[in-house]
Amino acid sequence: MKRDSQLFYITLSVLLPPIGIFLLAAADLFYSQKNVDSFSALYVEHFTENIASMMESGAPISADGEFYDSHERGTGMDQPLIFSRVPTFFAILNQEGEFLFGSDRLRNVIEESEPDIPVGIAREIASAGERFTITKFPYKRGNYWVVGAISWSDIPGSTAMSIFMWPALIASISLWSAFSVVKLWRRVINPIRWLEQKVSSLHWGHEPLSAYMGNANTQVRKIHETLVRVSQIAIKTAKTNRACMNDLVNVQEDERTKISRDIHDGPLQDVTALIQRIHLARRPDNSEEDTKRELDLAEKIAFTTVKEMRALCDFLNPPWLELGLSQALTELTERQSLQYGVKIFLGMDETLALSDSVTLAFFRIVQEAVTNSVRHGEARNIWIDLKRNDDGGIELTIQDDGHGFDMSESDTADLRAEGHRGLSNMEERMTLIGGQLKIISYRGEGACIRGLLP
Amino acid sequence: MSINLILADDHPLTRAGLMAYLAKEQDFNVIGEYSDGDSALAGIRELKPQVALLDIRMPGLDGVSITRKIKEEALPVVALMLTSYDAQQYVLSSLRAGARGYVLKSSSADTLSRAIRIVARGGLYLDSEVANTVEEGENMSPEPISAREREVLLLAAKGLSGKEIASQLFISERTVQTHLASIYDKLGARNKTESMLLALKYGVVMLEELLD
Repeated sequence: MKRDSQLFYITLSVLLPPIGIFLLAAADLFYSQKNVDSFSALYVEHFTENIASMMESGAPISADGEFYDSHERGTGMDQPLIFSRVPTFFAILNQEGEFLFGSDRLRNVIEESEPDIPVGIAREIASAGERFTITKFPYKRGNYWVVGAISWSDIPGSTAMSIFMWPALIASISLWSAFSVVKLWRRVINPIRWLEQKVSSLHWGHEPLSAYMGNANTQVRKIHETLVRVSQIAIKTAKTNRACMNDLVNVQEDERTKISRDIHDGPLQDVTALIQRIHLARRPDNSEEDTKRELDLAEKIAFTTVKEMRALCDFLNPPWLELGLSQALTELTERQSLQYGVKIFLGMDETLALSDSVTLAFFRIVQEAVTNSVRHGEARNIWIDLKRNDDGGIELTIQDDGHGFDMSESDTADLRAEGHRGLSNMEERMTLIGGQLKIISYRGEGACIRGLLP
Repeated sequence: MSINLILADDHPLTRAGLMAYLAKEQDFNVIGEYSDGDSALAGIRELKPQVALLDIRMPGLDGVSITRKIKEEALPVVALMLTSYDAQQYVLSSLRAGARGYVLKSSSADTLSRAIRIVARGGLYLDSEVANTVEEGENMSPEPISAREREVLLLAAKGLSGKEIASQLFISERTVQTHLASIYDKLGARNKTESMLLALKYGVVMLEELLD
């Protein structure tokens, strides 16, 4: 909320000066307008009254209404009279208001639109597309009228400008700033506030960021689009994580089931048989020979049990892994070679000092790869090579002469999804120790698995 | 002449069974019984038994490490490994550390007694189960291997590859493979490790030569 009130004060401080200036400019404009109006009214009144008194003192007007200029001036008065810089027109009308004499501008106005011209007081009227401040005064006992007017259309630009331009300009600038601030709010600040509120309350990984309905500016819209994408990626990541967790739990359960079954089918049956034999050996009616035979059998069964338990231990986590990778791999490959009837050629740099996690990873990869080569590739020969490469990294290569497979058909993630975890397990083990696994294989050309640890 | 022994095994049931085996022999004198590696080493240092029966996996120091300590400290004690594991690499590691014998816990009382007597005399005893042979009497001797084959075996034991052995002996890699195959055949071994263990067992090579 503190940030929001800060935003409010910033906006207010940006908005206040233009609003203040706008109000001042508007007041100034209003008073200027008023002053100009009263000044021009006064001017037109004085001017018209002067003409009227001039006419009263003997301007020759004939009986039939012809106007004679005894002073030889003012004939053809179609030009405005210029007093100072204000364009002023006058006209003489008869009692009925018909135009007798004067400037053509006024003649047009009076003859065409017969405006209601105020007497003695100047007022602004609009006629024939023009604005006049206009008045009329009677003379010759009301037989004639003098009409005086100034036309606003003819007031030179600079004069009008000097009066109206500055306040108008300032007012419009202020208005424009206020408008810009509003626009800034609508297109930038409001969308950002909306975004902030949405992002902070979003349930990441479960819902995407909703679309913005208003009209945000391009940058904000881009930020919004990016955040929408991020929220979608978060959902996807969460989904993948759940799938992986699920798989992990499944694998764990599968392993437990398998171990449980192995113990049940192997040692548990053996020990049960062992107990039976001991019972048989203790039967009171046994001959000495019977007892000896049962004990011999019991011993045999016990040996079998021990062997099965060793095999189970080796399968789960061979204790001899602690001897180091070189010896562990030797033991493993010798066992696998006997078990599967394949030839395994193990070449390794025995000077390599590897951590426990790396040892375990390489051990499991070799174990898995050899099993795969035999089971899926029906390989007869397998070459395993572990060495430090030219870049100083450690390279584990397992090459076989089996059928091979087309790696392009599927990638390890798909295989994993189909329940074939072998390749993806090897890949994950390499990734976990910070390396990479490459699988190079073509159908009919054997398979090559290469683990590279930088 | 009686033999002084100590026994180190963390599993109470197997320890009791082994003690029962040993008690039957008049000339065995068990002077110490331990359930972890550290107290076993302390006992060995203090009591200096002739033979120490050591389990490989124990809490604290493991059997192989104790054996190494005995060798380092030049104690007048012979280490005999007594374990549940038949991994040949364990046998090799124990021998490299200085053990003179390797017996599986599932062996009979007679086998154990014989092994103790052999190592106490300064001999080498390897359980028949770890070097896959049918026991045919104590003095069963294999078909003699040639001097060249012996050389190849010793180099292979040091961890040299076929190619390296070939270049060292100035023969072809193929000849090396032929020699090895012949060695395996004569000793009845199925792989390199087994051939080494069997060669030791039969006295074809001496422990010191092999482990140098």
